[in-house]
Amino acid sequence: MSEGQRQRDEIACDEEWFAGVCERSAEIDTARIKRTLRIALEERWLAGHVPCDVPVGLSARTRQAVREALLAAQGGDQGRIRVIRLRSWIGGGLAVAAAICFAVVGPWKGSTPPVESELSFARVFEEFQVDGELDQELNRLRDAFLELDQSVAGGWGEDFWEEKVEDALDQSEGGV
Amino acid sequence: MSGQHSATEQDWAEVIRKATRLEAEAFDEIVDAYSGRLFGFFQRMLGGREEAEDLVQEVFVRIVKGIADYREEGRFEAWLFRIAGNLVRDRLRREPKEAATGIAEQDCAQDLELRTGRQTGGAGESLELQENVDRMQKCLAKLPSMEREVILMRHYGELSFAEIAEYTEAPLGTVLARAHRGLAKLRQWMESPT
Repeated sequence: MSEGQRQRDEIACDEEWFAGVCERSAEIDTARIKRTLRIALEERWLAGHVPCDVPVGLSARTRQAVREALLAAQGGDQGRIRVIRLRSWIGGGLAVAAAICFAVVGPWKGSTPPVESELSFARVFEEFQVDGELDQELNRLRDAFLELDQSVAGGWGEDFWEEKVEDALDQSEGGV
Repeated sequence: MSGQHSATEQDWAEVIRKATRLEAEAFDEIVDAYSGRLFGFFQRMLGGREEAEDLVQEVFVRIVKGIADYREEGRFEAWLFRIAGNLVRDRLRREPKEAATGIAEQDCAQDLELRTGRQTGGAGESLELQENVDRMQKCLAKLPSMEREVILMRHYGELSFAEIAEYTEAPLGTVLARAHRGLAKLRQWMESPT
């Protein structure tokens, strides 16, 4: 038997002994780790690494809008993104004029995102025709974000979306 | 894939694929599959329970940050434990004297409590187990960190010697010699009367 083989045999024997003395796995509370990972994942999403399958069925333009929303939010804060669908009344008729992904910087603190961000999103949506196409697209965007929302473990779901539209409208009347 | 995970190789490949797309559920599965082994590795390498918990968390955070660059050329767990090993090395570089100088009594007691909680043995068995846990940690702490690392990478990470050689940038023969020497010393210390 070669020296190398003898050494390997001895190691194998000692490893077997070690496995009998030393546990292979130790108990650890994984809840804290998972919570931390959720935050890390959110930060990655904010950095534009949106899960590919979240905006299911979205057009390339809307997907781009989502990305821009996330990127802009990252520029403002690492807090949660809130996407608010805005409708604007222009003249006497009701028209969907713009949809703005409103990257709210710590909304519970009452702060607002940088102006550039809003303009950027508005530009993205200017390309849409002012008819059902935009509305349809916005609904998809909304669904996509709600799905994203659920995967991030709550905090800003359907209720928020519906309730805050009015507020958002009030806020945006002058700005959009 | 090996370890605690019950999924098939194919399922696991799917989990990794989902993780590369940053899907939260995939990371939950990865945490469930590997956190215990990583925790054991850190605890045995460094001694402290709290620090080990923090480092386990840090490994997963690094995986979230780096998963997009992960290529399925090597085994996932080899990559995982390379990250763990790098964290330990950083830690040992920063505070070489403090690390692994012996398990804290409290840590030891907690560890024992966790393990005996799952067992049915009596008080005598628990006491013996406690002594073994304590003694093993002290023996591991006495080993040079390179020897300790090879042994624990093999035990918890289930890495091959070739993978350890690649990660440590040491010749295969050197890695084998470290394992051989380290294990022989451990066995001798553990089996000799105190």
